[in-house]
Amino acid sequence: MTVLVGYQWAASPKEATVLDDGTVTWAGANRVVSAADRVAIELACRTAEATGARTVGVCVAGPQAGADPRARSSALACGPDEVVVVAAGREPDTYEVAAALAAVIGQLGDVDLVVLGDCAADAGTRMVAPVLGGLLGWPTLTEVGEVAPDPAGGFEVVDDSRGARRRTRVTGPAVLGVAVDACVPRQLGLRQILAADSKPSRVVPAAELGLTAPALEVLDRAPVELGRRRGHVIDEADPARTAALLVDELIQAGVL
Amino acid sequence: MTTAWLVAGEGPGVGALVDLARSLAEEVAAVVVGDDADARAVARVVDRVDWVPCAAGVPAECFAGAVAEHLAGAELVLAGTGPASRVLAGAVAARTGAPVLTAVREVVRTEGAWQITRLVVGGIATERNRVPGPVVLVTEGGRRVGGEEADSTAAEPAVQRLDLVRLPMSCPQAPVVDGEPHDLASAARVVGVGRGVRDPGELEVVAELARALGAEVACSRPVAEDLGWFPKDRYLGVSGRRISPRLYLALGISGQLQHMIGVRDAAMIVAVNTDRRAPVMSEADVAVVADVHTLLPALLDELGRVRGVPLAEVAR
Ligand SMILES: Cc1cc2nc3c(=O)[nH]c(=O)nc-3n(C[C@H](O)[C@H](O)[C@H](O)COP(=O)(O)OP(=O)(O)OC[C@H]3O[C@@H](n4cnc5c(N)ncnc54)[C@H](O)[C@@H]3O)c2cc1C
Repeated sequence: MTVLVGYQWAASPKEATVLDDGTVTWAGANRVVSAADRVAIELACRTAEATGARTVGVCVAGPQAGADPRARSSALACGPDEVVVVAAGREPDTYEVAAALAAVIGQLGDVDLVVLGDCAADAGTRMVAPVLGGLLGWPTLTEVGEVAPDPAGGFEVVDDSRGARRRTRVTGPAVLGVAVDACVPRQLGLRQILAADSKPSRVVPAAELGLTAPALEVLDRAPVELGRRRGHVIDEADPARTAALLVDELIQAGVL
Repeated sequence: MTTAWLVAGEGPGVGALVDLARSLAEEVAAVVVGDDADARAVARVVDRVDWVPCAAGVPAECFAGAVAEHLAGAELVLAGTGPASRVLAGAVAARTGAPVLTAVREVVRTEGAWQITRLVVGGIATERNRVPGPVVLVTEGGRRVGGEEADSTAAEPAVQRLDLVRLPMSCPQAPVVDGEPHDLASAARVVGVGRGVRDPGELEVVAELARALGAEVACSRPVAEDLGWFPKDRYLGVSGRRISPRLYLALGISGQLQHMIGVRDAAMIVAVNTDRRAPVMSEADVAVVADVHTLLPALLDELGRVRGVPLAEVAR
């Protein structure tokens, strides 16, 4: 059995700059396996260890990840037994990431569980796990905090469904989107980093997977403009006076 | 005739989706996975409902494959951001081969295609897309429908029951509700808690202030995800909930773009922050330079004073 974990090799959007014409630039940005993806990798590895399975990390990304060996070694150091990077000609969108993962799962053949960082397996749409579950026809849950093998077969999963903690029994293979607070990733030491060198990894050009992408044309991009606000400042030393001025503002605005 | 399909997996909180669907299609239909009351509530504001009954112990997600099959020919599918709605919508996208777009800000139909403007790259930019074929949009569901806005004189709307096959999942125990139920989507006033509040002991005072204002309490992402002070369905922003209250009061929130995206539709934004240069201060209608710990008790006193009633009464 194989537990497959998806991850990204990406910089935080906080490191990007949007120019006036909408171009997004990443000059000097530091690509990493994000904290959310490290949580997903940890949960995948723990589940695999509990069931005697192996863990395969899969990163579906643009050309940079294919060319940069750190996209593989950084993930391998976090625990997986093997890593596959699917390198597309450009940054893939949600559907393309899901379709590529489905293709790799088809090739591996023995995947029983897919674990994805809930917010981070693509540009933050949180839709990769749902689309992948749909492509595979497998039960899918998101916001997952715990997963344990069920002695009767399948898995027992605890997730957060709009503020309610649910315990769900899933039979057969499943796709899980993992909450960022599901577990604490293991500390990375020299031992893990050195061990990564001896683990297998490969780069697969996305073109080899024979994927079809949905019809979607990018017309243009623009920086986000937040609305202009009045910006009235209250800066008084005395809290009672500050409170009085603020309540007065609220009354004037008719929002109380 | 174009039909817009809503997919509702978390009850009737689909007001914003109905508004969007009405602006785009001649007919608005819905697949509601839930109980009978959910189906009837949604049916009061759309043209027809296909209801997938979902008994206790059955997660709505287990109908994903069957709902996708049911909507295989749909051109426009709209779903909310709740976990079940997302799973159902993802399956529909997979079945129809449609792109699935989130954080949608505008949709128009032009020259035989959908033109969609959405937030990308973690909310720092917008992108305009042209989609000539089917499309699945996942965006904040909005207010609960089927209540007072429904026409009570109208005939009881038609609800067609579907009995669909399930994926192999079950919940042997009832879910444990974490925190109090809330309705952020329709709240007139919302108090946002940021990391600047620092001490979880202070949340009691924040709750008291919220009661005094008649407000719901929400938070920034790190307050829910890193500090765990609130359930995750309470954080606002590009990856959380988006709200449009009359008043948003941000307490100790720095106002990064990813957070402000979630509150930009508030009629009035008030920010309380010790740092005059925090980004939230330039995005606010009223920027209060103050420490939340000293301001909150004073604010409660002042609210009690202006209403001419003892604080305890205001806060009830
Ligand atoms: C891809 C991506 C998506 C994201 N999505 C979201 C999202 O959906 N929602 C979201 O909220 N964030 C999101 N974030 C995170 C976001 O960028 C910010 O990090 C986050 O909003 C900051 O939370 P905060 O304002 O509570 O904390 P901080 O940024 O730490 O700000 C705390 C503020 O409190 C002030 N303060 C400190 N002490 C006091 C005091 N005693 N009284 C008054 N003020 C005080 C400080 O001056 C500071 O301004 C996202 C980030 C990324 C990269």
